[in-house]
Amino acid sequence: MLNILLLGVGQCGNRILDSINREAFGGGVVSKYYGKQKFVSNVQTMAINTAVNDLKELRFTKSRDRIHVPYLHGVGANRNVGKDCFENNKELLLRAIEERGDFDVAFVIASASGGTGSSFTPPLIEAMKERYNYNVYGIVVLPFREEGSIYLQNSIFCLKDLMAGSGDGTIIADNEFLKNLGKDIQAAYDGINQTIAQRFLFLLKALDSEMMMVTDLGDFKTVMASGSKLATIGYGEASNNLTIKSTIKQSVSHGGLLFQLDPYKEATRAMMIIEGDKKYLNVNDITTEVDRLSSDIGHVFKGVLLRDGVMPRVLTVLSIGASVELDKLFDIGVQAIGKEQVKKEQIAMQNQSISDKLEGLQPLY
Amino acid sequence: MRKIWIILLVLLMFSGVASAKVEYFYMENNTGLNFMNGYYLIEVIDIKKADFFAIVNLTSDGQSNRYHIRSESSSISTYPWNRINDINASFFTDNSFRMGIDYPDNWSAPVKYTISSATGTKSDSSKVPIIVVTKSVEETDINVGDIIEIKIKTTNTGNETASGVTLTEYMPEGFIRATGSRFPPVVKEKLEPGESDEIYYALEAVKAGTFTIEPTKIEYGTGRKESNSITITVSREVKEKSQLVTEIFIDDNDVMTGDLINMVVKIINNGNASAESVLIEGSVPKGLELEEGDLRQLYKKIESGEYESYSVILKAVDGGNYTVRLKTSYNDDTVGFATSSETISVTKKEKNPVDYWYIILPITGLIVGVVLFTMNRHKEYRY
Repeated sequence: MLNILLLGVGQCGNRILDSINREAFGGGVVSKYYGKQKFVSNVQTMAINTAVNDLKELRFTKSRDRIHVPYLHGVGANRNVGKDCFENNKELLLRAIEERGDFDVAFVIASASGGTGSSFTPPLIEAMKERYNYNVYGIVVLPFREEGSIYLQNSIFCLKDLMAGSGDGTIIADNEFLKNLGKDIQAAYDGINQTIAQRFLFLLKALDSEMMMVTDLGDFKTVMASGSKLATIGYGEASNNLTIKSTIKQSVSHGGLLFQLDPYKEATRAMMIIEGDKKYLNVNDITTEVDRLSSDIGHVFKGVLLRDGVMPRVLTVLSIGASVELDKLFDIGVQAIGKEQVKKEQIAMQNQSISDKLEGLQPLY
Repeated sequence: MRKIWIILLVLLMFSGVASAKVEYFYMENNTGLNFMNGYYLIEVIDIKKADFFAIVNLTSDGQSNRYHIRSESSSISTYPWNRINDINASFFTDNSFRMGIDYPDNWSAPVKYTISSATGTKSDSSKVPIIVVTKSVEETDINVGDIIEIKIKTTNTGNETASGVTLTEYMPEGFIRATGSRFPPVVKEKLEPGESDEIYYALEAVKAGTFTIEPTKIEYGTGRKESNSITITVSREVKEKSQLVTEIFIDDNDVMTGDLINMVVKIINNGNASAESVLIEGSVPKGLELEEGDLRQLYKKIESGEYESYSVILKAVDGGNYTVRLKTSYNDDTVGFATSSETISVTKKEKNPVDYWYIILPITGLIVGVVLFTMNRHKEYRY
């Protein structure tokens, strides 16, 4: 049994972590009062935030698992402030982690665009890698593109730090790509959080289960380390007449991914986990479809979990190589920085002009 | 002689009214006169010339009585010898005298005959059957429902066989033929001289009152005889009978479920005879249970004016109104009669919650456990 640590950092990370805890209880609103979390592995969760109100709104994460980093009420989406705050509280956080024991793998969940999550995640992963011997992965959520220039800046710098850092890889999910999961912003957030939670739990279960065709944490490490050290997850679920072949295709299609990607062109490695009743799982179909994907992206690790009476479902982890969507994101981010730069220069010029005008003058009363 | 004329005058005066006739017969010792084939007999026993009277034996309805007859009229008033109006004796000699007889004119003329001194048989040259019929009962004061037995005795006192004897009997008012008895009775068709025939029949009195059983008519040859009539007084039936009354007493008729009710049953004999084989039975209504005793009781005898009682204990088990019904039957009322107790109102007792401890305790424990668990869980997740 694997010992797994899940860290939710910042408001977004906290909410996704809370959603994971809720799904582990079975998804019911009051399930925490009578249920038991159905983690296959020994999973420890911790929600970290500088904003205490964000911690208070959690419902399925135990109070002892909520770590408040005292810094007023958040870092105000300022990554520089956030980094300073992290440095000041680094030991506090690491001690809290160490108190939970030793782990085989850790995941840090955060938003790339926010304050605490965006600024804490890269240095936290660095610190953990320096101090601990287990793999540490990021699960990062990209913002809606219209959320503003600060968030876009934060996102690209966060991604840059993660890609350049010593972390073992980062799974990305894009709100912009998934925004159709809800009728409004709040519903979309909830839907995205729940979707990420369900797929992540599937991944955790697959990493710690006996399989007919085996794939494991080592394969996952290989996939995550390849390419740009960024990855995303695809998911497909069979229903009615949907064959396993179609389900695999669905998991790597536009409708099944968490980030806009052309797997056959932009992915560098893949790990495919198939679960379902044996009678639905045609080995030839699986092999055919996996081979097709392998021929395009290089290598696909595959594992099959047999579950009696369960309709097939497929989870695919795709490492991202050169990505058009990432390029777009960085371009938008850079443009946002440029705009911010222009604004700052304009403000500086205006301030200089005001100073010049007031040079030598004193208020008269 | 003047007396005779006076008598004749008197007889003439009453002849139109009394319908009688007077005849004279010279009689000797041991001679007799036979009216209507033995219906009425006058027999000379002795002649007392010196004293101017004669001793005669009058026989009617089989009954005989001696009379001293003289020259004066000797009216006979005693039944049944009073069927003749008058008899006298005159013109006495040593061994004869003249006997005057005033008898009903519808009687035929008498036949004179000689009485045999040794055998008592008539030595008259004309032999005749003489039937004497009598009717009797043992009891003349009876109750309605009683049965009387009527005895008819027919005797041929004549010296000739009576043949073709028939009997006519009328059913008296207030009676019916008793079961098993023959009515009308039948007499022997032929009666030898001196022979008697006793026949019986039974009647049942069905009506209160005084009733006359008309004389029995016997006909034989040219003769005809009637018996005496009998008057019977029938009283209303005064039969002794037992009469039971059953009373049920309960100590409390408004109880709660689980309460005990003491019920006493009293059987009183208000009749004038003892009641026998007294059986009391009944069932406990639904909602009550018999806790102690038995509703069914059997008494061999309860004397007149006496009573028996027994008690049972009932337990109220279910809410509602109930009555206990008992049936009493005995020898004079084999069908029996029902008696109901007053209504017993049973109120369902609300069980004390403590009585449900075996349910409440685990549930309470479970609820407390759930609450504590929930509070603990809530505490774990409260921040």
